[in-house]
Amino acid sequence: MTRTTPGSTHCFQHNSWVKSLFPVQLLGQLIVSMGLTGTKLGCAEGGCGACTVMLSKYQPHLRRVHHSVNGCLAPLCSLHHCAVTTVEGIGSVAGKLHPVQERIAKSHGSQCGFCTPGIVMSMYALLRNNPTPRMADIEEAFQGNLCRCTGYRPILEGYKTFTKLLVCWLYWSCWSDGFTGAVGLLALLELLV
Amino acid sequence: MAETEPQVSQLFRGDRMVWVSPVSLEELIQLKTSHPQAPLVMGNTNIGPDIKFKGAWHPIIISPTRVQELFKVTKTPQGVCIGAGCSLSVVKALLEGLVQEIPEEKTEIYRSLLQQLGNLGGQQIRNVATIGGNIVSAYPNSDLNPVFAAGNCILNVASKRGRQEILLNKDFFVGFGKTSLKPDEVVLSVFIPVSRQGEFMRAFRQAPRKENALATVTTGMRVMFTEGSSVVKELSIYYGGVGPCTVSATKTCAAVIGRKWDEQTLSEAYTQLLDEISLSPSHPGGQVEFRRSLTLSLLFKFNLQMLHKLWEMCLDPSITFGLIGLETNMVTFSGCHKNVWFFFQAVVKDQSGDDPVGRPIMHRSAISQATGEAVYCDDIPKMEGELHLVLVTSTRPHAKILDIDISEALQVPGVVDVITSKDIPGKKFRTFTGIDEDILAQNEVSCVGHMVCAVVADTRNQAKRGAAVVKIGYEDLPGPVFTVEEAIEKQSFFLPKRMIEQGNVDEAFDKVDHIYEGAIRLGGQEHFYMETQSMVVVPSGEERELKVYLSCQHPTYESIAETLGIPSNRVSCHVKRVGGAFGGKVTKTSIIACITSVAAWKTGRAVRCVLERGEDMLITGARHPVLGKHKVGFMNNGRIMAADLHYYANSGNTADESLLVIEKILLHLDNAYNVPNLRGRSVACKTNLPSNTAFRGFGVPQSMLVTENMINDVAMMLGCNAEEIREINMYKEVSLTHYKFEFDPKNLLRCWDECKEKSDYDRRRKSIGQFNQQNRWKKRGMATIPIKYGIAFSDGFLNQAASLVHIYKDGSVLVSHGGTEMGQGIHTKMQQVASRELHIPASLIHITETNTSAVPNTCPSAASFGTDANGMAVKDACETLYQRLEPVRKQNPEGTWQIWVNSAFIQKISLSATGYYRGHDLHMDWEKQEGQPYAYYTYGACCSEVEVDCLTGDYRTVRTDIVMDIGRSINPSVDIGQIEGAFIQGLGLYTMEELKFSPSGVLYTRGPSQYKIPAVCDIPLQFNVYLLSGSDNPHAIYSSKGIGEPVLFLGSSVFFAIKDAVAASRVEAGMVGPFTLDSPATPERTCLACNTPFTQKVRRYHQPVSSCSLPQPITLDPNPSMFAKLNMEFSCCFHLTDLQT
Repeated sequence: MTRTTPGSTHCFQHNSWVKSLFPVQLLGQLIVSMGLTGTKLGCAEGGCGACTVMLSKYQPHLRRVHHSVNGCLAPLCSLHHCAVTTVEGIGSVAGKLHPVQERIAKSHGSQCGFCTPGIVMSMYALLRNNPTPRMADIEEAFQGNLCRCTGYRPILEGYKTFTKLLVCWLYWSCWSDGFTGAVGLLALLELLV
Repeated sequence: MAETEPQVSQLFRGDRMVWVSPVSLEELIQLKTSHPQAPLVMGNTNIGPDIKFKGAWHPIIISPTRVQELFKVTKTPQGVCIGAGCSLSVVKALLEGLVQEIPEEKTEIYRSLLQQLGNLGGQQIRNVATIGGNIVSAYPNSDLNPVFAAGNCILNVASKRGRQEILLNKDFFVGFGKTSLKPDEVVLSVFIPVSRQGEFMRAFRQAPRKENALATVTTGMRVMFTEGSSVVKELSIYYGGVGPCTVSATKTCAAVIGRKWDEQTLSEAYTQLLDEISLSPSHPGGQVEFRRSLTLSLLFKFNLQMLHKLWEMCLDPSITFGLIGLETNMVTFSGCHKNVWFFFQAVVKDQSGDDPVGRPIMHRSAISQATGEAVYCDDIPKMEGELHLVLVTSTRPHAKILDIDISEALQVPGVVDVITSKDIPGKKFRTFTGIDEDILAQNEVSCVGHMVCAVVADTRNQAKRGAAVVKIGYEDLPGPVFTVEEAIEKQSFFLPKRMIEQGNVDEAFDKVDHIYEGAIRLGGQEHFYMETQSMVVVPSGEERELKVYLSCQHPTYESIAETLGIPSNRVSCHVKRVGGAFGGKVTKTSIIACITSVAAWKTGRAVRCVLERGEDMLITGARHPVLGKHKVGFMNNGRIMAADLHYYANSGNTADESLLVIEKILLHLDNAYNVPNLRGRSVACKTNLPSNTAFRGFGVPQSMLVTENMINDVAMMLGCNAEEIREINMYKEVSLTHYKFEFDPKNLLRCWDECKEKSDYDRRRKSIGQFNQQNRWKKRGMATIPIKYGIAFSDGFLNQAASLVHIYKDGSVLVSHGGTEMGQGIHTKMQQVASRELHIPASLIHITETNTSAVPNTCPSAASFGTDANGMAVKDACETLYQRLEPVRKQNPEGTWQIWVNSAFIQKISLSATGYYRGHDLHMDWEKQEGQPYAYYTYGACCSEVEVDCLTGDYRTVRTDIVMDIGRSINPSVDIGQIEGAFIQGLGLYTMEELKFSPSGVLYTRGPSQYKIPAVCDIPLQFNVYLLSGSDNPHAIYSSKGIGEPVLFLGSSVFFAIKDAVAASRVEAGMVGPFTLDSPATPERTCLACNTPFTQKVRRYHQPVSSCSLPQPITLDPNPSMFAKLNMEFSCCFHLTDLQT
């Protein structure tokens, strides 16, 4: 198996490694063989979304190139000539954060953090297809992601900032002495729905 | 790259399987002819889980992802032909486009399909699952097949014999997962026709969760009226979820065809339908009564919509909408969550801008969590020679172990050893609350899932294969006990029982106006932490030292040391972060860590144990299910004078922390109410189910639900709102609790009043009444619930903590403390504390992990007490260090932190300090029935409003307002995170999450496909959180309050709001007064309790005619979750699909 890194994505090319590992799912390959542990194993049945990665594949008959998939189900063999983008591929602490990563963190949308990479990748795949989604698109994108800590509200609030109508974005981690965190302004967001 | 892809077929050959990916249709058909049994796999959403969980094995798998013919889409005026390989997302986008393009009347079928596609699976599944796969998997609950079948869709099929068209109808679906297709036939495409003039179609589904859940009942219904009239020309109704496959209501349809669509025709149709769609009481998946009611009520929904259509077209002037109303159009459920307010508190006026305490600082590792760089236990790189451990668990609920045959397991390639109880060098049991619990079963197993031995092998798969062939000889012991009733009957308890009483309850009952007795059951709750139990044990190979990396709330070096028979100073535990715990990673992790340590000890190699989701759910237990009984005596004005409460908690097979849970149940049974004569009794029932353990709230959510239910019953008896009864009985002034602890309820009352005010209670209560008058089938309900929650460990010795703070020469600071970071933000708060105390920016402070070499003798991060205890310990250490630096600061007042630190080093001042917090001396004397078990109370109140669809039991939380008194929050954003998270978890507990066991005690719900926790679609449409201002708390650090657990109980406001709405529905059926609604109020329980004419019809159908005249007040099935007859075949049902012919 060779792993090349053009930009931020990893390209797979098959080789004799398949034999020993077969049948193997993408997630196992990422974590065990490539040491890319950002993508998480939550349930292994496509039910929690912690293992979400983005697949990109040019298919002449489809308009969409990018889509989110469950890494725990996707068989490696089916990924011939696909590009796989994992959470590591879109931003890092040392390098540059992707806004999808930055906003979920700053909106307090990550507590224990185990579901966060999957949620980040669901959102990232959505934005690759639709840079200015509606709130309904965001909620649809998260149908397959579970989070046990946050109750989802802060995640949705953070990602609301990507929607079309939002004109003002205020971090509520703003520091002030009186009424801390001018969160009340978020009521403006009601306009969106 | 892909465009120039050479078109040659690919073959991947593994040791046990071959994967073929053909490029042309001819090749595919050729392959299918020579290997008719080989499945076609596209998304692997179906075959994959089958292989993994059901042990299915296919020597050849055909993956036709590159066969262009399977992706063709042809649009014609008659309809659209969609390639079978198109993913559901592609189909959805295509249909959405068509609905925009062509006239509305032609898109009836398309819109019905879209309706189903929106809720089928999640986005990730829809992106890979294919339309052809969904059809030919022929799952009984398929959402699309009833629509395809009712919509006269046609399959195009190819084989060596040529091509043919097959009508998707009742003859196509022949059984569970079976169609009439021949094994060598390949589905090419499905043709979906446009709808014709006068043709209407609708799809409905009801599932345990609105989205990403397998439907309970799903249906496609199509009617065609004769031109210009309301006479039915064609009618086609198909159901899913009511048989082994998609079924047609042919007779019902035949009875309606040729007649006018009106109430008379339809009312006959319901009766016919009841006859036709019959379900045996042992239907796989259970819920027979609910499913049958749904078949009727979904047809009724269709009826309402068709009547509306006919009315719109003015075809039948006789149609009126008197009672029915046009409410089917008021789809208030849909829609994104709307606005959210939450108010932080102001920091004090003169607080320095550099002081982070009280400010909404981001979780300190949120960024690395979002980039995937955060290291969890299983992310630790594999060590040289590392082994994997897989547990072997009992398959019998109660049996003697005759022998354990490991010989075959040892033959499995890669298997190194099998660990049994005999291999434990030290103590073979753990002792909790004075009761011993085997680490590995020695002579006897007492539940399905009881750990018996463990297989270690080079890889996880090898260990799994080894575990599968360990043969355990059992001799079944008679009479396993599963329910609390059985336990009561057989007196199977963990002792002691607990009792507490104030006043004289028996005497008081003689003096009250009314007495009412009721009961409520509350199901258990799986923790469902996202990260399953994980640990890596590394023997250093020298002087019996052991490093243990684990994901837990309580670094348990001492139990490991005891198990291995070595001193504690040889074991160091390291907890970097925990991917969710909620109480489930205290004792259970400890036992599994002991087993893993024994394996590492015996083999001398590093051993990793990471449970799979299914194993974790089976082995590690859940929240205690509770049966609560109450007898309440009250006056005409609603004042409760006496209450006698009994709690029976199902502890499972071991005591674990159950005895502490039943104590906490009794200590919280008063909640916010001052009942002068109050008695509570609780007992932990010993059953043959997996041992239950701590879960956020630790008995309180169970205890208070019974209390609030009692209040609710009193209100229903008196015919008033429960809120009035709550207010009348609430603690009003400085009072003594039933355990004689004095407290001031001022802030409780402030929370209550503010909650009523912020939620606009009075106005909304009126408008709900109005709404309920105007709507027959949708009802709204509202409930406001208060809480008074005791913080800290009532076992006083646990209220202590220590810390270790190092200042390095460059000025950077390393803080260690005994708390574990499990998402609750304790490290963030400790950083804030250290920053304030040392007067340095938080960026200079680092916390790396919880390490028992740095801070030994840790107490669990539990009881909402982590920040209280560790915060004080960190504060103590930082104060010491700050004082030590005093001389250098004085010498150089203009200096900076770095300069001071450096000079301190040069002047030989120690830059490390330990901190210690000696917490409250809490105690509870159960003999005297008094004590001070808590340091203080956290108060709150919550008002929720729901809308219930009485026909299906579906509900949506319309709005929730929470007011919490958490003192002066150290970090309001982190605390609001706890409030919201706990509320949603509580909403799950009380309305969705249901553990299902077989009659022989086997847990069925072992994954997210069977066990539904709240998802995005379940959060309130409007969700407001307010922190009470002007509250102080002298008992905790910086006047803050513990907030981890209390709010979970406030999720019950949704439960009582549902009950309120159900009561409104029952009024329509002429039923008033108290009724039983058990928790969780799932759509099933809600729908059946609503007692619509359809549920009544189903009940009458099952009952002799004589008893049908009077509607009986219903008592729900004593314990449906326990006895729900589930067929294992169904326990792995996935709403996921793939192409398989």
